[in-house]
Amino acid sequence: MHAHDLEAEHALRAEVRAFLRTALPPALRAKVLAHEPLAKADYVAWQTILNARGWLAPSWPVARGGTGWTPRQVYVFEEECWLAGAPEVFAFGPKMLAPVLMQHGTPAQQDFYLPRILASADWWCQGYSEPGAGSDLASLRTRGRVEGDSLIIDGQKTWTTFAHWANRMFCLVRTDPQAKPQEGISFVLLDMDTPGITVRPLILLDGAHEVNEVFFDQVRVPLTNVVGPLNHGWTCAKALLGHERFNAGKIGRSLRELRLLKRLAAQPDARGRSMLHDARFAERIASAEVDLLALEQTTLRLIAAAQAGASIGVEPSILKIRGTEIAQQLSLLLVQASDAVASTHVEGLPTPMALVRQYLNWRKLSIYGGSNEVQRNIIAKFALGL
Amino acid sequence: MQHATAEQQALRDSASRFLAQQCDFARHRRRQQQHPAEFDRALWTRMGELGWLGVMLAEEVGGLGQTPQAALALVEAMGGQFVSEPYAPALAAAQLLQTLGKPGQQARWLPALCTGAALVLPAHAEPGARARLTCVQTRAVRDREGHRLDGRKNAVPWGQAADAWLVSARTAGPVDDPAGISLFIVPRDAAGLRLELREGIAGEPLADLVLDGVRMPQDALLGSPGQAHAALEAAHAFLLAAACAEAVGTLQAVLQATRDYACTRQQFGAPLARFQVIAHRLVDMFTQVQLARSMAQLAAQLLDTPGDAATQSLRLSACKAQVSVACHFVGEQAVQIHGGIGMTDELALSHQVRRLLAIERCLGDRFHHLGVLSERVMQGEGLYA
Repeated sequence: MHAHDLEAEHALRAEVRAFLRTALPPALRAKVLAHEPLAKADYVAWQTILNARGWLAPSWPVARGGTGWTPRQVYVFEEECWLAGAPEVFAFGPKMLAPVLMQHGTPAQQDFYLPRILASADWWCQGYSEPGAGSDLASLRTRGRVEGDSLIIDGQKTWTTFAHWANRMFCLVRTDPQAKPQEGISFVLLDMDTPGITVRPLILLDGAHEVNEVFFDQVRVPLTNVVGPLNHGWTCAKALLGHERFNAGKIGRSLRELRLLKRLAAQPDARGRSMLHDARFAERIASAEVDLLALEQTTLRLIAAAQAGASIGVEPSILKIRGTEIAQQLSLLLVQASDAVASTHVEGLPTPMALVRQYLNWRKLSIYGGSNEVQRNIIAKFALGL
Repeated sequence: MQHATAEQQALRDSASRFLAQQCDFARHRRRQQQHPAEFDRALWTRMGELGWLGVMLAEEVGGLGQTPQAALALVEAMGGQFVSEPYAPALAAAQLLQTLGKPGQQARWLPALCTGAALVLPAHAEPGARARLTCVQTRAVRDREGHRLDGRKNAVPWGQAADAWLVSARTAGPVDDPAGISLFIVPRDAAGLRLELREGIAGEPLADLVLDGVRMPQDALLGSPGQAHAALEAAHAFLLAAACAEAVGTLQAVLQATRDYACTRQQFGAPLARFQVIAHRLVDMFTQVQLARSMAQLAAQLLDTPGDAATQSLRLSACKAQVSVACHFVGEQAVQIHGGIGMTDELALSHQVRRLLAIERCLGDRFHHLGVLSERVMQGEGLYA
């Protein structure tokens, strides 16, 4: 799986593995591998452990608490974490907001918020999507009106992931209604306990409460909470999209699911046979393995090109498209394999219902973060010049 | 992970420029109308002068002593042009001679192969072998002077132009046994040898070798009797990597042509590319080309990564499986987006699409290689532990 590690990656991989063996609590690992829902406390516990080791935000600059690893080393680190059954680090703080603050925030904003992200003192959610602005984000309508040294916000966000766990939100609001769609938007930080904010759960098709509607009714936010100049929020939002792109394929997660799939498919059915020994099913697994290898090689190729100084365009959009397609395919194969197993529960493997919930939940992968259709539009425009 | 070095990129770019002048579509069409097709000795000699024919051979015999990656950079450049010359097979034959040949055989052939004065090609595949390297039914029976060869070798590209072939034949063992395969250098004037000529998928001339009691002296044997499998496997790996590299060059050319066409062809008052369904199709083609490029690069790396042969061969299978999908998908969609004109022989694109199909069919298609991979999955193994 890592026949192509260079020496620096090889040493790091061993170090990360050794760390994960001792640092990842067995109960947490079991919960992740069984695909049971995690509580906020589970994520906080793991992020606290990572932070103590200095590995919560490996891509950050060393001065801010990062590791100084190459992108390739970050890739190795994330892959090992996935494979070990570690919870995913919540991206909103360390991976999404932090790069924006480092690029566009004031020193005061950076000094206040960045350490709180590492300490898990703040739990961020992202207020981008609105009922009328999903993939077409620029048509958002939530308004921010300047009044003295404050911004008064009215409107609604939706699909706000884990807003019910968050104490803060970074969001986009329209502060100049006269300007062109992308020009009158500001990037604003707000406390979730500010008067006028209401969070209402949206239950998804897998039965889970992950996302919410968030309503703003005359929410007063100090202007010092605007990141970058007023009306320049779109620039911040775009900067955010430019980060962590090489891990967009989430290959480690798919490798973990592939391992589970093979173990599950090897379980006997009522006649003592298994899906793994059904040539038709084995070919589907083989096909998924080829898909993953091709995606892995593409990721490594792009990272190598970037490390060699080449400017990388929109190619990482391919990683998002293929990564989510493969993950969705694996989630389907897992359901099919689990359906054939005779015993109702196998120690260390997810239950059939947990896998059905994952299959349903993972429909989101090709929708969020810029739907796969929007990714195609991006490639069409910037890579093919259409 | 290594990626193409600046040197290899420079080599590929200068090769592309040279080939664009020497091997344009007009020449390709002229040659396709020749019957029987005539081997372009002048071009071949020029390739020798440029060092391409001995790119991987030692400097002592006139080669450049470069890595397989350099050779594959040239193959990729050829994929983007109209080169039907048997470049990769000739390099594979040279490698086999270098690995297995006795000093006398090497002295006789290698310098002439480097200059292009001689052409030697491997003749290994047999009818119905279904891309299984060990499927050798041609027999070599020991007699007083050497061996007597009987059997049939399939589809040697430009086989009729060769001065000699490296013919694999079984000196021992059953049909699928890796042990017992021997390699002979058979000259074109060998008695009992007959060529049957036909055309390949992309119009390239092919020769089937029919060996009917061909008597070869003992010094026609390369290496020790029955021990050719490892060297054949290495040659096979190189040819697989070359197929992937050629595919990438061809895929890139087909994608570019289709993209350009979609930007200029007007229908319903707008260029085709303005229709999102076409734009997204082009993006899917682009994605396949990118994935194929990654796998071609992996195949190239595998050639000089020391490691377990079974893992290497499995990963090469994955490369060919993925590249085959790209050949298939990009070829079909290119014709579809071009519409009627894409169906015509006069358009260069249709020739490139046929070339993609030929690459897909050679050395095992996706179905074949997925079968190989599935067998390993059923044994509880696979590409990933």
